[in-house]
Amino acid sequence: MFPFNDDTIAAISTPPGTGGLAVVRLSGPEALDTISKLFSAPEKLTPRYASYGKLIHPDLGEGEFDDCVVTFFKGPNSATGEDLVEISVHGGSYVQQKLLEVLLLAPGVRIASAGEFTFRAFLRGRIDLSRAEAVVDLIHARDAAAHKNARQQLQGGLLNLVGLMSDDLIKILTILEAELDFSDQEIAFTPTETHLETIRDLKTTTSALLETYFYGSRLEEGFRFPLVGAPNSGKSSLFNMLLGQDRAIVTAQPGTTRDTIEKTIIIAGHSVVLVDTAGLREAQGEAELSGIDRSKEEIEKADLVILVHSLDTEDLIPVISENTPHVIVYNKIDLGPRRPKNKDIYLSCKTGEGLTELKELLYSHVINSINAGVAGVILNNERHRNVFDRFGVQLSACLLAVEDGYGPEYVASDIRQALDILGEITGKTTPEDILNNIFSGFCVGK
Amino acid sequence: MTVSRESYAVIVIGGGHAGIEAALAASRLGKRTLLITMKIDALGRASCNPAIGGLAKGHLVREIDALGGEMAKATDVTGLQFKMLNRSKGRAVWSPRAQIDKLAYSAYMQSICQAQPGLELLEDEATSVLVNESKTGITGVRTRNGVDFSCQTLILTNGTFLNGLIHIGANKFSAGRIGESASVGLTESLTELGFETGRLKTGTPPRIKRESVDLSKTTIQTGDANPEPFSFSTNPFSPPDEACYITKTNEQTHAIINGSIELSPLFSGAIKGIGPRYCPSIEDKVVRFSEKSSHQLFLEPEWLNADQLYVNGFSSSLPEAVQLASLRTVAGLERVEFIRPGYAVEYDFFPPSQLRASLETKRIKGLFFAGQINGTSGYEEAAGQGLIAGINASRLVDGDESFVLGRQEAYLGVLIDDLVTKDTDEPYRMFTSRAEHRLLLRYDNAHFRLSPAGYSLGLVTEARYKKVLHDAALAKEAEDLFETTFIKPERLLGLFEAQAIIKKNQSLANLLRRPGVSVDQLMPLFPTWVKELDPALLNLVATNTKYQGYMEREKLQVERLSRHQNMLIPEKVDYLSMGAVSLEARQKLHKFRPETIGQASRISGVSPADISILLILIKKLVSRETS
Repeated sequence: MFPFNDDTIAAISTPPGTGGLAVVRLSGPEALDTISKLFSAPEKLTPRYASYGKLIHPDLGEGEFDDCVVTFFKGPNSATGEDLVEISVHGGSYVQQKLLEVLLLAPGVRIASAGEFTFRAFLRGRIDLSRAEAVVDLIHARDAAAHKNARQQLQGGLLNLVGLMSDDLIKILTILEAELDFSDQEIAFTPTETHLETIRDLKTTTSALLETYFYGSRLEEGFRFPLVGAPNSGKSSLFNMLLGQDRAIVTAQPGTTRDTIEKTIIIAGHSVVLVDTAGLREAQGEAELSGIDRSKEEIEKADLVILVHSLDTEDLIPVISENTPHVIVYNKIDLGPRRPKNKDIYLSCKTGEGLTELKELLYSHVINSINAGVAGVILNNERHRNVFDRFGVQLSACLLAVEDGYGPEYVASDIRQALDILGEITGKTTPEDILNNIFSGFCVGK
Repeated sequence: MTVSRESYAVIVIGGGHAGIEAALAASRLGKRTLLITMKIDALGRASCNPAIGGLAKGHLVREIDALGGEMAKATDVTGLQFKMLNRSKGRAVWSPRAQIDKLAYSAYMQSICQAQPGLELLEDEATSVLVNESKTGITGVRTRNGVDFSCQTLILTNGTFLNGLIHIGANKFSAGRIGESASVGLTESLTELGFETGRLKTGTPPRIKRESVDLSKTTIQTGDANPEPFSFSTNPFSPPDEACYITKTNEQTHAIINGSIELSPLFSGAIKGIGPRYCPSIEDKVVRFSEKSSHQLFLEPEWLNADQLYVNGFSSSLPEAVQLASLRTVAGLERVEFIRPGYAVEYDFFPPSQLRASLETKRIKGLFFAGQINGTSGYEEAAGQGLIAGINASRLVDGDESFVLGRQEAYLGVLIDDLVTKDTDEPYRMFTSRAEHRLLLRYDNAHFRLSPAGYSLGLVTEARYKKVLHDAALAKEAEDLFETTFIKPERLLGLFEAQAIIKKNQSLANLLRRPGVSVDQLMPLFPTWVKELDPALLNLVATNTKYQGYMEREKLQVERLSRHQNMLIPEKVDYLSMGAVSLEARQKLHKFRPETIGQASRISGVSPADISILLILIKKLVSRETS
């Protein structure tokens, strides 16, 4: 919708994925206000100077989010010709996404469309007229790419689901509008309360969809499967076996892996990041100590912890919270005693026995996570998450209007608003669409 | 042989609802105006139902009044029954409707037109438009009597008369309305100039002899006990309350219609024009909604003490005998006799994508179209366009920029914007659902919205404008008072049901915002001057207060409309060569040739990305032209 607003737009400006640094840009009249509320040192924000500080997450509080460098450019002397804020944070999709999410919660801020920063720069005369064609091509290309991207994502069932949700609202709106525009005719009207159930169901679906966003973002970044265990339990050997190459250093010396090493493999068509971690034990040196800290961090972020335990030792199996999804792999069955039967995996990195079972287990874990979505749909895109976020809020407004006995014109206004939000994914529902429904569904006309 | 006659600033062709408003507006704005009609006696004739207003249409009438038009006053003077529709809902969608005395209405309009200084009336028929050598500007009009009238601007309001063709069963004949000839020649003179034309269809039900109806078998329907007038100027107001009568069709009626369905020109394929889905013929209803065993019919008086009734709900182009036989199965109509049968009429229209928002054609400077010729239906839609065309013709003569209302300002704005940006595939009728800012465009605030414009245009008198300003100030004062007056809980005792749960002092505004609390319930808490406010004004204040959140949201949406909305697009833009714009958008833009970015954005098939690209290319084009 972008030419129609002089509002504030936000987007991650660095390429997607994990890089050293990520830059999130915010442009428009609310840019300075918005960042001032989220930055630990707003008084430092002087045009054209980079200021170091901490991001304050409204839920997590100061210091719990990330360090950042904020540079403020006062319009018209900025790249877009309006107030522009550039926020540099550590790379890593999580931080960028979280920051964008927080920015989008601010009043008057919305996510930028493809090519929109450049477009604004052009409109405000920051880009030379001679470059007009280039801007045109850029918008054209990005729009095409965004479309393709959206289509691809939508093929996964999101379009279907959004279509069904729109249809539910359109049905309600058709009844309300018929009642408003043809109340002088013989139409048997439904009391507004009958719409409550539909709206409540939609709200439930929306909440469920929003919960899938965690998995959704995993689809983009990859699931994280850290290998965790005591030193020399064979984590690196297993890591190499799963990768099919010698990536990690493998020695018989305990504590060789001092830092985490990660590598992406594809399971069931999805990226899985295998992380080889330092052994969990009382560390000996400085370097190892930080490696162990990292291991603990990995466990927290994990989608599935692969706990590796060597059968040839008396070590205890590390304790892991019940809530952390994990699988225990008993390694070195070629050396140790035969095992009692249960669900966990027994394998030998030396002979390769048990590897197939492990791979199958990892595969089904990925598949189950994917199926955790709503009707097979998982939100994996901040734009979509943002749409459903606002949609949910708007549905609450609809519910309130109905419950408070507001007239159909007000409920209709709320429903139209909700449809407009969904329309950002499916395309707009026009008054003509509703009238068409009325004419085909009701016998109107004197 | 043609004779040349003196020149007029504005000539209006047609004396229907559009023509009258156009001619009155132009002459009231001081332009020497000529109205040419085929029959002066038929000025302001209501060709179809004897009613003005209704849902959304009532809003249009109020807006016409606020801008200084005549329709509302004529309705107040000649109305037979007044009813506020949607009264059970909120005020945003209340809409006034009145049964009118058709004869009195037409006579009122004739006398107003005859008495209007600067307006001349002529009985003749326009047969071709006259243009300059380059075929870019209007110079005059030629009539059937062989006279060439020269003019600076010409407004065509031909209604259903252009190549009008009436169908009754297999019988078809050339006519504009029953008993009045069609207008032939004008369409051809316009298509020669390059105008695109199409065919539409509409219909009207039979008129029956009142004395042949057994009204005791029908249900009587009367108007409101305390009717509200349409016009802000009507005072005092004590209209009659003539009854209408409700009866209904039954399975037997439908069986007769079904049995003769192939005799309907609608189903035989004889009618090529597209009819309105919101106003289907009885045969259409019976076929398309076969599961319904009955349809309501409203018997409405055509005028005071009329010997004839209008059978609302029974529009038909079936043969007369079938219409009569099927109607005679209806309770009360067993011995019904016709004054005349229902019929369908096909006529030429000009797709309104050929118009600017001023209603001037894009092709010929000084030529305006208004009313059914633009593919609309309804007296109110026609009158609104006539008013706007009259205003803009006058402004063109003065060299002033045209008067265009936004979609956020008026239903009239929605109407014209829809016409110039959307494809017409059936006669266009106004509905409240077409107005995205419906909650702001209320019938009760039409004067606050539009009187300033009406006054500055010169169509609203100073006295009336001052009255509107005075009312607006009172409303504001009352709204402020609601926000700042706090009421102790004990004073609420017995006022409304849920008062017991209120423990703290509350502002009047917040009390009013509680679910189920009405302004009437709070009345005892108001100071005398508020109690004594005109009830309509007090209710307006109450609505503004109670639904403030909704109003604010709509206002915000209006504010957010981009400043690019009104950015003008140069006329000579070559859309087809804009490679980066999607093919569909290029073709649509080429067809519609929007005047502004706002219009372009509302054409279906034009995406936001297309608009962005358009903005850039236009900016480039404009800067190249100016440098």
